[in-house]
Amino acid sequence: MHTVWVRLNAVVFFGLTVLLCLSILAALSKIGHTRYHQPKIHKLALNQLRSIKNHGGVDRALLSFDLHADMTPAFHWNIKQIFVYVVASYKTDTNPNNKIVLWDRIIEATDPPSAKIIKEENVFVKYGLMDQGAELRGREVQLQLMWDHMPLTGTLYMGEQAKDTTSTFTLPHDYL
Amino acid sequence: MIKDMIDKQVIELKKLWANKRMLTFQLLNLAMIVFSALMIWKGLMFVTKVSVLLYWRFSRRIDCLFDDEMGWVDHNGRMSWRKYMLRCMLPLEDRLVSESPVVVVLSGSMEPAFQRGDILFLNNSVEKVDVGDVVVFKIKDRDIPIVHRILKVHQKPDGHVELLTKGDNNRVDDRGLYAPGQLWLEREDILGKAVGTLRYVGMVTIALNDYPVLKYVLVGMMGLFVLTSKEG
Amino acid sequence: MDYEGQKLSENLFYYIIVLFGSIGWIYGYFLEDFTYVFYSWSVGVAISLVLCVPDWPIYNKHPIKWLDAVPGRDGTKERETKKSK
Repeated sequence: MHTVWVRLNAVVFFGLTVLLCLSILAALSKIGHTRYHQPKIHKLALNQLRSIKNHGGVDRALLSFDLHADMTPAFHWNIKQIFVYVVASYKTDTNPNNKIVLWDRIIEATDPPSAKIIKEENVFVKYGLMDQGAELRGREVQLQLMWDHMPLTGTLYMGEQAKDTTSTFTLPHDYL
Repeated sequence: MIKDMIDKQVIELKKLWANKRMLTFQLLNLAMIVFSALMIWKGLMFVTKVSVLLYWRFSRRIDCLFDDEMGWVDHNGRMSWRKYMLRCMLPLEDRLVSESPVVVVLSGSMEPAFQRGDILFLNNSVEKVDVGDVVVFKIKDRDIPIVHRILKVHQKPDGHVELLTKGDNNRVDDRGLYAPGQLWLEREDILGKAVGTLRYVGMVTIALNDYPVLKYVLVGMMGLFVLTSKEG
Repeated sequence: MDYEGQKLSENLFYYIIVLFGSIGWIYGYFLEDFTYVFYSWSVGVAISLVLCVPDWPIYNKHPIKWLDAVPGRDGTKERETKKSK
């Protein structure tokens, strides 16, 4: 502590250590938050199938859906943002499990409260429902809402719509 | 006050130069600090498997630092001791790139989830990666690891998966970033899944990254300080 | 800076940073916003940098008293002893 550099070093590193501890404390203060605060998903269902076509050997379906969900309970002071996304999952003969994100949205903690409640009809997909091959026709597709909590400090954790409330639909047997 | 300090340091340096025994001692002292730092660093990596990986921007900068165009060597092909010291310290970070379970985010492609300066903790022991997971992957023959989110998962009957990723802040998926002709990522390409994050604390890294001069000043100052300081 | 001053300066920045940090944390906890913690912490660190890093006169109130030079020795020896303090 006898020179300026040593003191500068000491202050900066002590400061960073304290900041680290405060961040960790903030993360610890919200353990178990999800147990009592779950987002409410009122509706996620297919609205309209726009098209299902074959592009160069690959099937692609375009559709729109309705989404009513209140994400407010997922937020707390250690959350920086929630990444909400709609997943379509289906089975084909070549791939026993396919999961594709059709739509996503980032809700930041600083967004106004109205942005944390999603109530939208006929939302067109951001990413087409695209198969690896040409096996989409006639498949049963399940839509499920999932969200990823991105904290300021601490672990990332996922949340998902309860399996028994998800909706499914069957794609037509012919291109359209 | 600063002028006083500089004068003091210059006087100390002159005295040191006159006393070769003292000079050797201080140089050894400096070497000890550098090596013990290296030792702690390597030890940390080994024991906790936690160390700092500097993400793509930084690695790119290191790559160009090692180009001779950057003036590391003079026209005689020699390197000054000061540059040598800096160069000795830089590969420390460079070599960690593929092994480290900690990443400092230096690009904005995942904003606002991860801003530049955030620290990410990776876990590569997870067997399954799923859609929506944030993963760090590396393209073959390219040194630069990328932190992005999984957009598509196709699982084969034998259990192995083909993945497509996308940065939250990017408009298109990552196919353009993959190797020519590569359409899917596989589990082996993934260095780890992001399991934890730490904001604010990593900002020092960003400061050092954005103002490289600062880094040289810091390292230089440390060297000078160690050379001229006495046991106190 | 003398020994007492070093002790004072070290204690001072410990308390300042911890105090500002904790106040910010509690404030932020109840307002559900972590940025308060960061700002308050920053203020604490800034104050510490100003107060504790430079060699202010307050840290030099207890100068170290050295023994008088032993009479009868020549100048070079005296310089040597000083150097190895």
